[in-house]
Amino acid sequence: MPVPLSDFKPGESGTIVSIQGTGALRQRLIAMGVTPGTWLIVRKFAPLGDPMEIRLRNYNLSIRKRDAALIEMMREDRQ
Amino acid sequence: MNIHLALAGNPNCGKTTLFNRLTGTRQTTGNWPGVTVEKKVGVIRRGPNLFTLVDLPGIYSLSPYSIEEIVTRNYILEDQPDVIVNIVDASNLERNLYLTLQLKKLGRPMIVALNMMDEIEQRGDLLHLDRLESLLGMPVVPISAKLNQGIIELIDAVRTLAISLGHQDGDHHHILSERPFGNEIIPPGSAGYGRGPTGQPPHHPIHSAASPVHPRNKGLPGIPSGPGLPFGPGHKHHPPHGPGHGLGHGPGHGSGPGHGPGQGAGLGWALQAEHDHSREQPETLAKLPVDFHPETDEETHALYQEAARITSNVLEHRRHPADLTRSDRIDQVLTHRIWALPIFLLILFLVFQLTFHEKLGGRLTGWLDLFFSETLSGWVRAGLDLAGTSPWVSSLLIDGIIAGVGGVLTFLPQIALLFMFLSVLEDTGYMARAAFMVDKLFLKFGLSGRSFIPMLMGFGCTVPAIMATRSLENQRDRRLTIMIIPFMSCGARMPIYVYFASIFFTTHKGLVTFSMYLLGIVIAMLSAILLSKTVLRGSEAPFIIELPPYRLPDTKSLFLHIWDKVKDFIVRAGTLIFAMSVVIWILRTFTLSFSVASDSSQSIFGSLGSWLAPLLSPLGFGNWQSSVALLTGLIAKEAVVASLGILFTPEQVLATFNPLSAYAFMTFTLLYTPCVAALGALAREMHSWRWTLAAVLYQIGVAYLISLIVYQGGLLLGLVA
Repeated sequence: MPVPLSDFKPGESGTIVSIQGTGALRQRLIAMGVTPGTWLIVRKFAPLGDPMEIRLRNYNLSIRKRDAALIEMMREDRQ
Repeated sequence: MNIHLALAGNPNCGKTTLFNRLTGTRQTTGNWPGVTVEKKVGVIRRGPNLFTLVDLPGIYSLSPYSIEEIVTRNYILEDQPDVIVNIVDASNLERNLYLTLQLKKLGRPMIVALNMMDEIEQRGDLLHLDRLESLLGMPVVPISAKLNQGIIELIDAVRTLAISLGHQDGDHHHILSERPFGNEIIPPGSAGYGRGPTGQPPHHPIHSAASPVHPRNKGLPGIPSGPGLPFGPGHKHHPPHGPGHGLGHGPGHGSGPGHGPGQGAGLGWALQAEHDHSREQPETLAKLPVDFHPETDEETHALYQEAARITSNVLEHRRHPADLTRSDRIDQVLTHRIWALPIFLLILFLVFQLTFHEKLGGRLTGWLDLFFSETLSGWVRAGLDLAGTSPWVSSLLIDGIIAGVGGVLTFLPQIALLFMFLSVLEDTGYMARAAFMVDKLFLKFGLSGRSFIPMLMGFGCTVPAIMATRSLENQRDRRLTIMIIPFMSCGARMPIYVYFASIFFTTHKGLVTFSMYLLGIVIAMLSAILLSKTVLRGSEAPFIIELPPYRLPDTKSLFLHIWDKVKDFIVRAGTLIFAMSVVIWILRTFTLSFSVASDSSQSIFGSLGSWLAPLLSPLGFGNWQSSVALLTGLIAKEAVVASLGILFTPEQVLATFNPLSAYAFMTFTLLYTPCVAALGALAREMHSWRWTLAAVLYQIGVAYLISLIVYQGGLLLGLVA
């Protein structure tokens, strides 16, 4: 069952299933390599609780929770 | 032979460091026509060749979602650099290769400068350069811009490529008609990285470590876009594209099968076609060719898949990807859930203390002030007395020029310090974390965390700060940020606070100066709320930013950056401020009928200022000198102090102002319309005269209102006896 990335806790990882939404946000995400099939891990949340930091394609990206809600993920079991 | 090359690459890939390594101080900066994206050009000479380098803006992709992306794409298509040097961060290969593959689609001669090889080495990772070259179908030169390694090899590879193109296709480009020098044609198999065309012995530690198998010319020649690449032959924008990509491997790189002259012709044709349809467009850089088709999601996806495929083919990690790097460990402290914000505030506090504290940055300013107002003035006076010149000459020199120009130059050390700290924060990668940490807070003000960086830069100078807003993605965010940046107190306004604080607030100098900065921030934030709830409604752009690894700043780049700012400041002091000091001196010395005024209130300035003074008297400084100083501040904020220095003696200041009116005056100079240079940048970035005018009126209005509240409120509270 796909879950939105915004539901992920720090340390949780998974694979991107799809990216919802349209327009600039979607385009920007895709241009930064947030594409279906990509593995990512949630590193942390900012001290005020938002945005979140994710690691994908061997680099770190910051994204707000409300935008992360548009990214559907397949959660990976934690070891 | 003059080779024209363009540097393109991701932000944080070390592009600026490489550019500085290549050009040193021999560079010029300007803007791209029509848009305020900074354009850096440098010229270097190596052997018989001149290289003209253009530093393109740092971008993640060529998809036209930002001005920088459009500028880069159009520059490559319209100005046709001979060679594109694509700087790729080897430590972040996959994401960087996406841009490489996009650039490749533009069909121009390309070389990859694989940067940060030292980090790869440090990590113990293995990078197969030969595989990368053959998969990309273009030369790859490993470099470390930071350690200054591989730079000469890069230049030589550029030259070799340019010459080989000329050899293949003599008529398609101006540089290519020249025949290469005999010894520059490298026999196949001899162009390993350690040995450049000039025959230097290998001296590059990176090569042996990172490239275990690297007979460079093996299996390279004429590689078209390989199968699996989504833009092989017949791609819709580039009909003869596939064969053209073999261009990196002319005679200079060793020839091989599939390298006939027909390919060169094919390339020329492709370039011509590309050139033609971009030519038909108007010269506006911010516009795209009409037939431009943005990449579809599927195309982007395919390019990323290709980038991932190449990466997994060429890079062998020695560590587990989940292992923490040194940067990660630093980050665990700096963005710690509890400690992050205290550390953030501490860093800002330290920056301000080191810059402004009278025992630190302030001390330097104190020495300079003493030098100008006592030592230099003393020498000049003594010299002139000895020479027996007339009193007006010494008045012009001492009360006009030294008081004006010296008054401004005094603040040079503090401004240099401030710029140094700001660029250290930027270069280390901390600025991105700061934006990350404040984003949630900034959202409450209708801003994005991204606005934080331009706003912080506003403490240095309003002009680059306004230009930095181009990194914001939507126009609403840009306009909102531009509207409030002028309230961030720029370096040139600092002298005004220090001037008054050292006269009226000697015991709380630091606190009073700091309160100005704080007031500016508060007004900026209140303005952001006001504007985002009224004229600039709409939603903030998404906060999708890279958090780059922490890195030590490159000292040479840092030095060059500070030198740039210092030079600019000195040049302004020597030209604009110098001229204004003379003009101010004349206007306050002579009357409207050009006789020497017995009292400067009778002077031209006196008359002009007296018309304006009544308007300012509710604010506590309704005297002609203040009005005139504020007017000159519109040309340059430094001029306010220059004017005050010329128009007032210190005793007169004490007699004219009291602490409250001095504070009101400081408030007014903090908030009112920025200098003409900043207004110019504002007008260009707003792309609207209505918004520019609105900004000017808003700033004057706010300045008047807040100063009025400060002064009248202070009077009501009985702050002045």
